[in-house]
Amino acid sequence: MKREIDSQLGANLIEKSDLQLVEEVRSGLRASFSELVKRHQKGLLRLSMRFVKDLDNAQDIVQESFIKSYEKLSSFEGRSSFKSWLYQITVNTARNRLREDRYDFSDIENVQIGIEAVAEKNLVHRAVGDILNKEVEKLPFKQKTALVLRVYEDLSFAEIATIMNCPYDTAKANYRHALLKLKEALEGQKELKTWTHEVGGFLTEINTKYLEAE
Amino acid sequence: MKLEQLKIIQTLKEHDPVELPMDDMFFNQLHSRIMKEVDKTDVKQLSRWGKTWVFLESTAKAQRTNPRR
Repeated sequence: MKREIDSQLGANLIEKSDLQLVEEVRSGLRASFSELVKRHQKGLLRLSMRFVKDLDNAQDIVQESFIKSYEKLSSFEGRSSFKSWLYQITVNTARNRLREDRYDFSDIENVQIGIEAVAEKNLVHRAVGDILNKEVEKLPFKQKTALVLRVYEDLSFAEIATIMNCPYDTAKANYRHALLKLKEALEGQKELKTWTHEVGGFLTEINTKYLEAE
Repeated sequence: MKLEQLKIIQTLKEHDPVELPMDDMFFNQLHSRIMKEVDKTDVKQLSRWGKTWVFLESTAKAQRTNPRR
């Protein structure tokens, strides 16, 4: 008897998988969806923030994505992970939101890059970081999505392909194109090039290493 | 992967522009807000046409009723 109780307690304590929770929701246990929300809301918020940059908008996207996923739960076939499926819905919701709002990217062009007279290596590094982030914003949606999912979410190309609903090679090509554009953008920064040459900064470092490797 | 690309990835990670709220209160509120809306929503039943194999099913049925000789 005691062993039976213990095993029941043990079963409750073991964390259920996403798929188990999905099955419970399908069988009418709405509370299980609450657990799925708890597990994934942070990840979805981070992902949404990459596209809209605004916490309120990002929260709206997360909410909309969870509601869509709840409504469409019957169509989730389990061929990919629940997380990938949720990410797919979130990326699509974010894209639709950007289209609806015609999200204003114009400020990206006008941002001043603070590279005046301060020749310190960490500032160069920060400037490079700023430039890269601004260039990421300019990328086409698909390239940006592939880059974000790979770099910040550490997902495999197979997962990225599932989320982007495209072939594996397309996901990889989008990521490569994004990286190439970022590289070209950095190389095109004339001021930064001169500046980094003086202080032995980022571009000098990567160019040397690249030449060595070639 | 080329060193340049690795360096770009490393720099992107180091300068991640996204900062999320860290407090539990924020995420509890977000969770409540989401679940409040979910409570008003129902899981939509998958229609027959939502199945990818629906056309195979109809073909199979036709073959069962009118088998080829």
